[in-house]
Amino acid sequence: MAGSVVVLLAVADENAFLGAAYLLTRDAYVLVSRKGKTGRVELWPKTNMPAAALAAAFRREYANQLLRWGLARDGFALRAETLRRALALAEAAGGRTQAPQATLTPEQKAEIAALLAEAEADPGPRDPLGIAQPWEDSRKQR
Amino acid sequence: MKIVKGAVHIKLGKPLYGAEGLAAGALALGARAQVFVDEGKTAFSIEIHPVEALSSAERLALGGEFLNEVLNHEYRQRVVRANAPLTQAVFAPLFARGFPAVPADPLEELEPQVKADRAREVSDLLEQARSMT
Repeated sequence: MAGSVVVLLAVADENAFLGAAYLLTRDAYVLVSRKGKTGRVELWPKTNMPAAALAAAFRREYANQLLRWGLARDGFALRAETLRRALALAEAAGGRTQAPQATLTPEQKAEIAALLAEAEADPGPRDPLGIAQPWEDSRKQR
Repeated sequence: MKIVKGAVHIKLGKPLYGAEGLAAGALALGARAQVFVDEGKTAFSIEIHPVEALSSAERLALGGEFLNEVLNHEYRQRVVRANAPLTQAVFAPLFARGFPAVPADPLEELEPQVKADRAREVSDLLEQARSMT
């Protein structure tokens, strides 16, 4: 096994720091420590990956994790509330799955058929001035 | 992480690392090694003794496996804690359904004096218990 590489950085978010370290466990053995705001990561490569590449990968993942944890924290309350409401709706429905929206019940189908029949029987709006009439038809009448 | 007399020595600082994580790491190594932990004020000192004869690289790999497993556990716990509001949203209604309010005692409902007598009896017993200590 090759020697280890140490990365030091200012830690703004400990979860992001641990998250980045965790993501590196695929390519390296990882030891983390912290002193004040400074985080220290020691990486022992598992493969032939160069130490510099590992260090760069860790810094990249940390920036990535900072953003992800920030976004996740922002949305926690909203997601929890959405989930609570969804569960309340499911509870109100008796815990059964709802029928897919595209499927119509026989009653709904009969109602739609009746409405269509009614619409077809309707002669439509009156047009005493012949506005809806094509120009050719109105000319023939003259 | 270093090798001293055939054993892998690791120092893990608190509070990033906890006892539960160390247990998870030791469990991952199973029967391949013996893991000894000494808890200090600010850190844990760990010694990993492989059961079979291993090369230096293999010993470091064993220690590395332990390290990664502990880190995995610690990070997983963070994620679980961070998602507590979501977990709570799922479990709160279930618990509410599973533990309905205790129904009132019919005897106490019928005769309020029974409730008063019981409360006095409990109070006297507590007083008696306190005086015994």
